[in-house]
Amino acid sequence: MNLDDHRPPNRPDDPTVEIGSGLRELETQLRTTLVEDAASIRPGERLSAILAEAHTVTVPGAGTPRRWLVLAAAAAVAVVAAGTLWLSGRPTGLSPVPAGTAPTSQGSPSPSTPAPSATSGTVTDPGTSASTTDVSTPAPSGTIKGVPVYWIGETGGAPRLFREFRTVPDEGGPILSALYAMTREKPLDPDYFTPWAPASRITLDREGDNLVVDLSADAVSGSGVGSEVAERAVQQLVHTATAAAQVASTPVRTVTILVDGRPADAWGVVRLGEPTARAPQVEVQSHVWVLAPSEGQELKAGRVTFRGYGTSFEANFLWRIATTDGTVVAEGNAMGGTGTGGFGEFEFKRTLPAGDYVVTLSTDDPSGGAEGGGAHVDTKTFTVR
Amino acid sequence: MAASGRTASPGAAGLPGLPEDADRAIAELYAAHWHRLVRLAWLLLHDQLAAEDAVQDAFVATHRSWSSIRDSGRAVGYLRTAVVNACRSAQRHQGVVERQHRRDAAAADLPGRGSLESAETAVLYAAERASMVTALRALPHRQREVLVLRYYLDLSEGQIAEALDISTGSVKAHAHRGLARLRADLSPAEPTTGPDLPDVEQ
Repeated sequence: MNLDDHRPPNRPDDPTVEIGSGLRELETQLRTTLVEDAASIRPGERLSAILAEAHTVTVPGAGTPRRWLVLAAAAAVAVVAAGTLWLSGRPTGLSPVPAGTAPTSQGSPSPSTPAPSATSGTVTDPGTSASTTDVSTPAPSGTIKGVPVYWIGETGGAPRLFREFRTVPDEGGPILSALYAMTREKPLDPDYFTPWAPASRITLDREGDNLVVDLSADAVSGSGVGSEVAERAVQQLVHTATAAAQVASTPVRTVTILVDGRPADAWGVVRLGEPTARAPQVEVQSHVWVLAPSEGQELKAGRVTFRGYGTSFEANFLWRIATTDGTVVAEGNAMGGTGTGGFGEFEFKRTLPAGDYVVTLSTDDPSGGAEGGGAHVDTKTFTVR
Repeated sequence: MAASGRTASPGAAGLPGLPEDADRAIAELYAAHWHRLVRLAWLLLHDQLAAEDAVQDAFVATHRSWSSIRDSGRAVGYLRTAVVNACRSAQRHQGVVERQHRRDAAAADLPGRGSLESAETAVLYAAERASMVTALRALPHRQREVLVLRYYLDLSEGQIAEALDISTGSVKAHAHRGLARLRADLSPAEPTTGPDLPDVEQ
């Protein structure tokens, strides 16, 4: 077998399946899907970690070295050369490997590749970002697609988080672009709002897995922001920043919000300045989101796929599709999540003729609102052409 | 680094154009194949962190027995097999519950996990692509592996058989069953009109 990853694609030497003509289209669709799906990730760099781990002595019975140890070791690797005992505890399932040959080592591997700095303003590689978004029209230059922005909506008796993926001005990478958009843009869904005001300046600084977000004071100049909304707004920023950091392949765990470089009391009701992680999903997030269609989306007439995400009593969600004048055209229920607080996705399909519609997803609230804040709801208006 | 793929002519199986030194060889293989193999693992696992772990394991294993692998002249084939096996192990070791948790976590794009990007991007899929991805993920492991190797890596039947250590007959059978099942899953099985959607077609 030669090293054949470089031969021209799509022309295997021999046919794999006796395909009926009915499968040809499926094959094409499958190929396209796999290529697009594969392109939707950006593999991290691990050469240093691989070399470090390859030179690490594995003690029999000690099991697999933890990844973080290996990664840490990559920075200051001690090269353990010939005579290395490698009884890998790895469940790689490889056939046993003759251990008669020690790896010859030639000095230290190159130092660990540092993760790209969150402040460097790297924009998602255009080739990758194009394939990770489904927007059929290319984004105008100077914008960045697929940026996660969180907003607040009132549901289940409290302000809770919702998420939109947006095409927004590129302010220097997904994180800055997402945060500027969170303060400067309005949610597409009119049911959502944001207490943040347009920020004239946002700067980022990364300290390990903490991201420091320094806002200009105008960002918190809104008035009449109550403590409940203010608390949620902190989580709104934390969620937006951490999600965007993930998109940028520079994940962070916590976010410290500063105002003009200092800790501050925002809106006079919430203290900023400490590293803050995401609060438990079930506490801050709406228990149901409509993932698809998105607000205002135009769809081709035919079979429409609706996708939702959340957690509900006995994993049961209710859905309803109505025209914008209020005529219900279909309703039903769908199962998703664990039914015991775990969030999960669900989907259902309906064939719809041209028209303007509203889809409403709701959690199941058997108490009818007698317990807790009642059902959680998300709606999206969309058009079928 | 494309050279590493071309210097090994079919007739020189014993003399692959890869360095004897394991570090340098791994660096070359990494440059040529890391991204593609991680994407392959991603297609099998749909968890980026786990995918990178699986491929890292494969590279480390290759490094540790570099001398014999180099002599065999099939380093890439070895890597590929190791990746598929590592993905299988990864799936085996995550139980059903854990998988559910992972999916939940991924969908919620919690920070600090490599799988998260998948969550962010997952909601961006076109609807058809999403249902194809979903249908693929619902296939038995073997069928998914065969289809991914065939339609993503464009391997021949023989190469797939070698990578998975199964017969070419099994490759055919898995491919056929996988495709048939995808087709069944993707074709609209429900009636397009029903009691809850009267006359909407007209």
